[in-house]
Amino acid sequence: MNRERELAHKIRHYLNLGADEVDRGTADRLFAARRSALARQKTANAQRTLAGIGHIAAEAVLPRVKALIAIAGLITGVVGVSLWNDAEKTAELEEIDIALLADDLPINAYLDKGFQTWISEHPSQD
Amino acid sequence: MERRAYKQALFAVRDTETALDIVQDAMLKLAEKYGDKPAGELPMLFQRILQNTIRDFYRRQKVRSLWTTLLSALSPAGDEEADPLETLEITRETYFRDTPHERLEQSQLVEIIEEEVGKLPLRQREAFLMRYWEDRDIAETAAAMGCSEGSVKTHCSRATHSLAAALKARGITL
Repeated sequence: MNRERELAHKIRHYLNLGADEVDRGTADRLFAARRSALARQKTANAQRTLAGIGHIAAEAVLPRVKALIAIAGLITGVVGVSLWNDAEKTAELEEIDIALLADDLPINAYLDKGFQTWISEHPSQD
Repeated sequence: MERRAYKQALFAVRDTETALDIVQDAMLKLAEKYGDKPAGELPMLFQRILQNTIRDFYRRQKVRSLWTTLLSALSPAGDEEADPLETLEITRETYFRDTPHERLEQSQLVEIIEEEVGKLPLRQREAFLMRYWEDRDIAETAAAMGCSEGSVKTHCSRATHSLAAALKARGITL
């Protein structure tokens, strides 16, 4: 480990020498890039002070609003499907009741032993 | 700071113009996104941005040098018994050169070392440079690289051994 660190520090020395020997043109361009970045930093800060609260609010709230909308959509879908199923079942039962009341049942219904038992247990109110 | 960053980018992309672009991008991102952060956090943030920008370049270009990785992974296996670090002679004289001849030698040595650093696999080079050139501790290096501290240690160790072996193969003793 110590040998590793020792060698690494030796290499670091030569890397530093190499960085110091960067040619003038490259050094100038790097310096210009640094100045340009610093100038941009001031602009970024100025924008933040002008648009600050709205920008921060939008950044913080927008992703949550999107998630809430998605969850609400999902819940609406599940509830909708459940209601639709209930409505269909009710409609089917209504049809049977109407047919029964209108004495319009198919003959097969009277052949069903379960149905006859039900009729005998629930005599007509008429 | 920007010169070291430029060199790091240059090791990775081996093209001066692209390396300059990468450093410029990284500095702009730092200024625009993290300009309001405390000054103490900036060097670390800059390192993270720089590494990400270099990785973005790799992704865009899709020219990751797989063969370098393979060669580097294979080279220590052939000579596993001998630790190249043990064979390196570290002498104080290597640091300081006075005569023109010695300065030329030093300049050539810098060139060779940079070349060998450039040949390291991406992750090993990242870890080695951040840890030993940028003086970041293991936790900071791991955070910047998005990996575990154990991986950083492994990358650094492999990088140092690879460099030692490569320099030894070229007859260089530091």
